[in-house]
Amino acid sequence: MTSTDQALPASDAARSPGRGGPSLSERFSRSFARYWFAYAMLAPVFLVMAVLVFYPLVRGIYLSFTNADELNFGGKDIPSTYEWIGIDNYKTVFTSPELKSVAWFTVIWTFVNVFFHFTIGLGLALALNRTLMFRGWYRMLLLIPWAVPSFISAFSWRFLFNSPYGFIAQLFQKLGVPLEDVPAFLSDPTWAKVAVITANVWLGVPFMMVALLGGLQSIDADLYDAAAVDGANAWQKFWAVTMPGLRPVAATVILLGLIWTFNMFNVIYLITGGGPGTSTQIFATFAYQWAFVYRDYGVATAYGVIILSILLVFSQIYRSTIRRLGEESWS
Amino acid sequence: MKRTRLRTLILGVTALALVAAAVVATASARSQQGTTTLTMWSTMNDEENETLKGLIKTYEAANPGVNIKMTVVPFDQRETKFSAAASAGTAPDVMRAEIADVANWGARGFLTDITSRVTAADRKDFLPAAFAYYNYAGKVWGLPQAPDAPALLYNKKMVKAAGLNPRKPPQTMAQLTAWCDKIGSGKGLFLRADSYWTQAWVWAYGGGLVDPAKKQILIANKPSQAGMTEYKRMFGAKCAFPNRDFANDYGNAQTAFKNGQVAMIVNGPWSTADILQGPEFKSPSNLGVAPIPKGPTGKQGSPVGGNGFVISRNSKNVAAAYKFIYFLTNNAAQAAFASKNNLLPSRVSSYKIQSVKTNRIIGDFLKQMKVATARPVDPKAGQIYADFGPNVQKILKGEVTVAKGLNDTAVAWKTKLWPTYTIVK
Repeated sequence: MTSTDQALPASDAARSPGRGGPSLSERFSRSFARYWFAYAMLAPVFLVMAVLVFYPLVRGIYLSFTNADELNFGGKDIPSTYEWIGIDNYKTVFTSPELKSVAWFTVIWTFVNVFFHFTIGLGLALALNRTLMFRGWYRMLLLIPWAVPSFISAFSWRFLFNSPYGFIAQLFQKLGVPLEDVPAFLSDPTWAKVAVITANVWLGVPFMMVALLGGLQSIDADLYDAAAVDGANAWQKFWAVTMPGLRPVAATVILLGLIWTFNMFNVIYLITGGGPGTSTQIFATFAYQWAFVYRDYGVATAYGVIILSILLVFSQIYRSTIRRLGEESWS
Repeated sequence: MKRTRLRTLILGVTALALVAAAVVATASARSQQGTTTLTMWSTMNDEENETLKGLIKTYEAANPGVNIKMTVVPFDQRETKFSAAASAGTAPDVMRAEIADVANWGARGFLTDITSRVTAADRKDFLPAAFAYYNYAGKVWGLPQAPDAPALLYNKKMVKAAGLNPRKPPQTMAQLTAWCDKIGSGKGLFLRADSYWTQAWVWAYGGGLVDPAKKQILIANKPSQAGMTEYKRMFGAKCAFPNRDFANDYGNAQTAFKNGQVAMIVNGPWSTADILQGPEFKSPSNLGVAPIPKGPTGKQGSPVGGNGFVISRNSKNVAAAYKFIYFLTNNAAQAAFASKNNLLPSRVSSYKIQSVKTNRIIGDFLKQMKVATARPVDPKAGQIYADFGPNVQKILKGEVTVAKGLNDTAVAWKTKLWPTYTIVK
């Protein structure tokens, strides 16, 4: 922003608000006269955003304060009859018996996934950052999970987890493990959690790997030479050179990963559908459950608003972290 | 070079535009010649859709100028897809609806009322148990196609090998346990972790779901608990096939039964076309079908389900659409689905057709239908499984007791579906 401030005429800069500057409308018309072209260029984007983002957002927030459900929602030329009911839907959300388990698993799901995405991604990035034979091929192969549409991966994992007919159960039995000792991935509440997290870790690693590889390659090789001259071993080089050098990239991708994973719907929906029981429901899938299974749009949108609020806090942290790292162009 | 490329581009675009205009012109000319296109969404399984495609061809040949555009919609996505289309005003003319959908879509204004079109003779001819679901709020909203109820299916060869008489299937739950034990460890019976499947046990022990007339929720009462307790016991019994995968257990039960890895399963008539393709059933007579056994007090039940056809409110050709769904539910179509897919006809008169009469599987399922239990006709009745399902899984995994799981279900029904009902303990 500093550069634009400097571009303003000196008279503008001299008038601070305290000394009776121009009124708001005056300032607006002046800025419009000056930047009309920029506004004109922005208009189509703004229009699309208004239709696709702002209107649904406002309507969603409004619906979360009504008793809208499938029977009173209406439709094209069917009148709607839902009413304003205040914060009742939020009360329903916060008193629902499933809330505790859903909230817990959302937290576990988000942090465990991102932890493994990052550590495995970093390990692979480090491995690929040295010169080795067929590096291009490895890189391509490791990108495959990312290239496959996620619903296909999810279905494939569901086939792998099938017990007793899936690959994993069959493999264990071939190795001589009796079926009752093979984890029942899709019927045991704990193993089901392991199963969906495993599938999502597999899906998310390539992105981290590619992003971190880019970060590694931007670290100045001279720093490693200097560390070697100082007699640093590999471990010391990693902590003193690699990690600090990776920090800007790592902070960005971890926060992005947290937001994406928090909202990751299709893996859980397609592999377990939130079951067994409600053991693998997270906020994103549970909001879907309210909208399309219980068909209570009021409570479903209340969940949506709560998810949005949590993500707003996330993105606030994200912005401030980026700013702290001195990359203002990102904020 | 550059200019020639530009000229080619312009020429190409012009040619394309001309072709497009010509196509549009001929298409509109054709539609002016009196072609009626009816759109239809089918929720049938693969085997049934083959039969349906044949019937559509027959219909188009007999009705020149009528063009049926059929789209297959997966059964478990039908509600979401149809609701979305109907509220946007773009629903297909004809929709295949599960019985629980009818009252719901009728109440939401998504369907065309066909009361005046259904003749008195037809009303009499449809099986009352099936037709009841298509009457809601004093109006008729569709025509039933195939009523169904899950029954006990068994592999006669395996039963015989265990020293049991396949002609005398278990009559009581105690006998079912005896059969299961005799057939042997992990091979006796495959039970699903699905609330729909547990209902027969709940009814056999004298329990219930809801009673709309008395405004009561019955799922948490003592007899319901007894039924669920027995289901849980059988589910975890040594003779039961280990159900280790709740997400895939429908398919796994079919696979295990088709391959002779389990001797008994519970499933409806719609599944038999698939079962008969399995290696164990190369000879169809190996498939035994019997009503789900009685409970200790002689009560018995199985959930009546089924599908039929409705006309959406968006249909511009209600007369043509009605003629088509009438065709799909008349005797010829019923006979086709009966002989190819073992679906039970919804018309009394269809049971007099020779091919239906001699279809043993239909005859056996009809015995189950006679002791089956109707589900409530209510716009919200289809949603009972939304909370019942997860709670049944928790009960079967021992995460909660039977009493708590069923009580949670009852409370959820009261808060979400029927606030004015009382929970009977």
